[in-house]
Amino acid sequence: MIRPDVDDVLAVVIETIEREIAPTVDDEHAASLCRTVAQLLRSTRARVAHEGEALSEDNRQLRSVLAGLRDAVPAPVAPRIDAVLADEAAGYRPVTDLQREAVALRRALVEAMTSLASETDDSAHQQAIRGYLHDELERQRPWLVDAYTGPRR
Amino acid sequence: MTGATLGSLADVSDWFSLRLAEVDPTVDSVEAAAIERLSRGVSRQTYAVDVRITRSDGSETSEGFVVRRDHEQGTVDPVPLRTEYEVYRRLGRSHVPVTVALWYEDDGAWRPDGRDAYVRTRVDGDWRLPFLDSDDPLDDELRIEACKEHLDKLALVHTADWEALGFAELFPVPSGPADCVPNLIRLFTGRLADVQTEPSPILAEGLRWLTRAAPEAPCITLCKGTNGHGEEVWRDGRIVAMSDWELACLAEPAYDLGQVQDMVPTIERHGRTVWGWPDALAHYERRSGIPVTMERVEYYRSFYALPQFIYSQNAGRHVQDGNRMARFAWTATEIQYAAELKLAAVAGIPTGGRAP
Repeated sequence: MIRPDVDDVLAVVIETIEREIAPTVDDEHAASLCRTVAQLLRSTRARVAHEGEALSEDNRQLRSVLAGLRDAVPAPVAPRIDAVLADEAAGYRPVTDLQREAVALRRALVEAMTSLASETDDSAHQQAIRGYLHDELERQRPWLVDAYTGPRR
Repeated sequence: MTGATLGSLADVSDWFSLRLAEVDPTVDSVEAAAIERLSRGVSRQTYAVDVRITRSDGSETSEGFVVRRDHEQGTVDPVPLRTEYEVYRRLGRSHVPVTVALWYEDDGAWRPDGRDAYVRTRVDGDWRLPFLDSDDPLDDELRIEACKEHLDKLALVHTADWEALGFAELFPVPSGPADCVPNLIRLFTGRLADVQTEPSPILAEGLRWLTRAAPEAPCITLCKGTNGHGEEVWRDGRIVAMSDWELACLAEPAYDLGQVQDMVPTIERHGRTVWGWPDALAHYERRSGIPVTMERVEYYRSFYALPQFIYSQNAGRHVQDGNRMARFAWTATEIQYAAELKLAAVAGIPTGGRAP
């Protein structure tokens, strides 16, 4: 079975909640939860569509940033960067794998940022970090901003 | 009895009969008439309880109370329920208008549904001020008066003698005005350490900038935290109860003024500014004697990203722990992202498009 796909089914669930269930709910709290759930499903629908590609790109960029920081961080931090950079798998990656990798990479980045906190903002390292932070936020926009269309509660 | 059931009128009658008589010895018996869960709150559960009270002189009255407790799955703000109760207890001895906190229930024989709860009086009024969104010049005066009323009540909070009221035992005390921001960062990052579920580079960058940009405070005051429209109870144009003290702390007034929700309108008529933030801050200073600059207000608007990030992380922790509440999931996703965007703004990292 290929179709209807996840996107189709989530669209059906959302429309059923909003068009058929929510209007019949008299209890104020339950009606409010219908709005929350429908909006969460909109976000989930977009996340399913975009998260894999976004995380893959995010991790790739973060590897590049960390490699650039590697020689600037103090000795105790460098081996931890080496370790996360060495842990790279090839080929198809399920989202859960990409998430696990993202957590490890981001932990290394926080450590590196803390160790370089006194650097001036216009240093190449800080610019690379800030460029990554910008891109990381923008990648999530489709499911954390654009997907929401109405009241959440 | 192994605890009251909040859905049971009989249980609540027994529970209130016992505890209200301890608070007020003239209470002979209490009969619960209605229990309704209020839907607005996300952080905790709030129930309105209507009761009929019979007193020892034979008189009967109908009165309203509020039962407040954590969700079965926990709470959004990682602030203990007991702290919220203790804030109300202390404010009961001040001029700040608040509900009366009556008792904290941690006795296993009475805790409703096995969870701690506290009971407070219900204050009649409405959190809604429909005229706030109006652009009708006829509503200008109402909007300005509401703004002044809100600032007056904040001034009461900020001029309360927090040491005499016992807030130094409840919240960490800054070592001096210059320590207000560092103290807040210690307070909130301490809370974060208990709930953070994943490393956050944007938080690290935001904290670096918040620390660097910390403004000087003129004094140390009790602060309410979240305040303004939706957080206070209004009746006849006056605030009769200030609610939602989950982000209360010892800091400086700009911390609160940076968290004001919708209560300071900018009104322009015929090319002239009738009211705005400069007027509000001037009014506030006349009432409190404490100068607050717009720069400090802006700083604390940005600072709010930190508590927002923490409570959204806490909500996410609950979801990952198997506590399947839709509001937790929403808070952990959209609201957390909103906090991250604020942290990016603090750090001067531009983000494009429509913000949540």
